[in-house]
Amino acid sequence: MTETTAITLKGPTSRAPSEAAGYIELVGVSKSFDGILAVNNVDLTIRKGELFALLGASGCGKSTLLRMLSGFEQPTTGDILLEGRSLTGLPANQRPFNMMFQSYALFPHMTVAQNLAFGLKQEGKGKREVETRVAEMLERVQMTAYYKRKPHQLSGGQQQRIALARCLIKRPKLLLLDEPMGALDKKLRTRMQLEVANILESVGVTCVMVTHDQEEAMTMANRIAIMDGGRILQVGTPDEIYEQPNCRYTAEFIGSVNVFDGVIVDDEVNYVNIASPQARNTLHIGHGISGFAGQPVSVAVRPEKIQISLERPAQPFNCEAGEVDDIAYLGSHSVYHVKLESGMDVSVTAMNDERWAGERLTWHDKVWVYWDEHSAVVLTS
Amino acid sequence: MSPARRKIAWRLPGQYLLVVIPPYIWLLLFFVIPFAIVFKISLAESAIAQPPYTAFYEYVEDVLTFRVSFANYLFLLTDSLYFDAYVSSLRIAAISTLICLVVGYPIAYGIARTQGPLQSLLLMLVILPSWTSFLVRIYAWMGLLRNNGIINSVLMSLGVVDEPIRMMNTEFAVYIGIVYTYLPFLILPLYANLVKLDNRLLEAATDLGAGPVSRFLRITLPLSMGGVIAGCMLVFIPVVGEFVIPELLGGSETLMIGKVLWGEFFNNRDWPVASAVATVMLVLLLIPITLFHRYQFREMEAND
Repeated sequence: MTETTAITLKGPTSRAPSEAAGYIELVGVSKSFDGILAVNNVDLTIRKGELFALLGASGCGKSTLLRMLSGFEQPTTGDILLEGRSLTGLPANQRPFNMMFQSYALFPHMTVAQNLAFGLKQEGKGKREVETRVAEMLERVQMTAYYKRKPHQLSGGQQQRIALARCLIKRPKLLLLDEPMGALDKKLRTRMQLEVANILESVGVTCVMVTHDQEEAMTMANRIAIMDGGRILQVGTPDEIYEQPNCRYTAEFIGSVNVFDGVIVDDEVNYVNIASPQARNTLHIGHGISGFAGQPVSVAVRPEKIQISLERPAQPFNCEAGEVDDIAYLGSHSVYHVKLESGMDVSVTAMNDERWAGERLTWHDKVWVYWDEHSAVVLTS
Repeated sequence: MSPARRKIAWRLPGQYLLVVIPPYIWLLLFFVIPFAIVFKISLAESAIAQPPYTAFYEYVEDVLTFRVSFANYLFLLTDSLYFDAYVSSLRIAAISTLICLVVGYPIAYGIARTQGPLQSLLLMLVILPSWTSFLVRIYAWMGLLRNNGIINSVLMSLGVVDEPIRMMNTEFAVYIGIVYTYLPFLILPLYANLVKLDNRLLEAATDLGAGPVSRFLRITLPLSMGGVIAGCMLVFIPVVGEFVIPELLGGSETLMIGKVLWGEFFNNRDWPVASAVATVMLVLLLIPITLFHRYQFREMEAND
């Protein structure tokens, strides 16, 4: 294994109602298909009651990880623990976990009520209990009026609620969501993200979701794990992942970012100066980092942390001259693409907070871009 | 053409009509008209003439006279031979269909679940026997089932039995012949249905706690019902009227309506009664066909 600074198990306290840590633990879990590693030595702790998202591009191993949790796949090596007990060898139909499939996989020959009752009947629950719990669950997802319908008579959003209800009715110890919004159109997606998150919160179920959509992960999840190449690169709350990415992949995967490559020139206790061929002036970071002079690093700055102005700012560092190359007007804000003198393209976001902007920047304006000493992040990998 | 028809035809573009019309012409030429002729004959009376029945209408001295007689249908009721033959045909058809289903479902399921080139090979093996002549295959069965046939010879030389087991000219031989001949007609539609089964539904059922038996009974079987019914109809309907297999393998012991029909036409030369037998058989078969179509229609509606 190459060393990665990646896996941070002791993330800061999340918003989730976390009791004792380690409700579900993955210990050194790997999975290979025909000798190719799909999941590579993953250690992960999921806390009770949290909504945890596995985020990554397609083929990063997130779905395989989810299928191992569900029991459809068994890890090649490593172990998955639920409250300290190993789940290895326990088949999917005996795990107290339920999965909402991306396609929902509602049974087309059964009504809504029969779909919900299916799981309870498998447990051998009595007729009366099944009926009350189905009625309760329909109430909770506000689908009582539709209990007699067949899945094909429901809209996409309604199908999703039924798929969710079919899982929740089993009162699973862990709910798995596979690309939960993947089958919905964009407008409905935003609404259902909040709706599903609300239902999950009201039930209080522990939940692991897989998604490639960072917005979805950030809207719904308490904590996010960024995956690439079968590994987990970083685990943290949405704002930690966004504001404190620990590697270049994470920084570039979540949101957009400007990255300067350079080397450390001054490495002091309370500041660091970095020289980059992509920047004329020194890149100054207002806090110490664990590095050494001469170490190659990257400096990442988010577009919204950068100011743009026609006048030269007072600060001697973190400021660069350039020319407005392109403007993307997005209504509430605009993204300016500025070509620096070094030839690097920097994107800058600015709020359009005035309705009539006579003085707004335009193409080919000579501008200065600058940011303060706490706005950039130093990435060592 | 009814007004409604004309309206549709008016609205349809020419190329569309070109596609829609041929099947209707086909049905008209090879089903509606022949059946009308058979039905017409069934209303006539047997006569020593050429053709051997009375004319449907006469036009004598400016008077057009239709001769319609339901005597043949009444005759079918008086002789228990016909009733017994119908019942026996339906019974044999039902039992063979059931055997085909029990044998064919696992085969269709197995092929549908097989991946890659092996699947095509297995499908080929199902279809392959029908590439040789049907009659040759039935004669081959006669060679196998005869008292001095291959099966009895082997059993006797092994000392399993002392005297040959009588298999030819029994209902057993008829079932063997029918199941052997009609099995592909059940396997193919069932395979086409099972191969479409969404594996994620089975995974979802597993995830909700279902074991293999429960998955089969509550997901696979109900979802394959369309294929089961289509396959069963494709076996049941032709078997009811089957003539060659009971004639060659069943001998005189097996009573089936196809044989009765043959006898009326060729031995008794009573065309009107034979036509009445055929008409009643068609009406009997209309019941399962209608049920099947209703089911198929519902299915199609559900899939939209």
